[in-house]
Amino acid sequence: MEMILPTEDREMARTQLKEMAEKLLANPVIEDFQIHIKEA
Amino acid sequence: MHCAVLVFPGSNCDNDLYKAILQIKRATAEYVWHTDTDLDRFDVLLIPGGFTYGDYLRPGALAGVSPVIASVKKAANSGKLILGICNGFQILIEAGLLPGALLPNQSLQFICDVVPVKVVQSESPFTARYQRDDILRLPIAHGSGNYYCDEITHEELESNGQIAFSFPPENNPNGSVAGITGLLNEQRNVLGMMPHPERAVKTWLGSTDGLGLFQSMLEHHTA
Repeated sequence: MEMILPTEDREMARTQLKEMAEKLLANPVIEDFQIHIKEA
Repeated sequence: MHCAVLVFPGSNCDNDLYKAILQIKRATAEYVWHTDTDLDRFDVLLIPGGFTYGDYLRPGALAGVSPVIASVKKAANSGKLILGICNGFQILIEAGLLPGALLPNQSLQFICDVVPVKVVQSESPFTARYQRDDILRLPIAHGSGNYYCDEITHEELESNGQIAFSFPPENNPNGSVAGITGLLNEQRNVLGMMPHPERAVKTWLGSTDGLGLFQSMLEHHTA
């Protein structure tokens, strides 16, 4: 999945993405995830 | 027994479930839209089947974070009966109220059929009217009913008596682990099941084997 976050703060982006993945984007019973951050 | 039939965008079995409840004397039902968070007036919460949010992301994933779900969790913790059928089962799983996951059917095909379903746990508010090992004939209609859990969870489910219904091994249409197709939480007040009991409540529907489930719930509530 690709998304654009309205922030320049990499650490905040990583924290937000981790929370999004844990709460909704991934199902931890059957999926794991990796986060890669790139500047838009 | 006053029941809420929760309705999400894409729910399509709400009408059948509502009508099934009306078959049971002294039970009443009301539709509740998913943005409504006040469920205190209900004794029982019912989550019908369908394709909520078009199964976007994963079946039940988006409905599982809908506004009403926080109230469903609160009701579950307080011991109210919660029944999720088909997509309702998927929603309960995604909301974390039941363990495991529901994967696409092994055949990768949507299956619409009437199949034998074994009662594994008859000591629950949902199954008290049945006997253990009873075989019910119930309709199934799903693309992602393949229940999965890891071995540790499976052992816990077995030893806690949480498996409510299973497909007989020789007739497992979707590849579920141990044929599991109905699951209770530890307290046995939350049931998720893939088959549709609400479609087996009139002779002209082909089976009345689903009536026992709703009658069990009423008897539990009025006890």
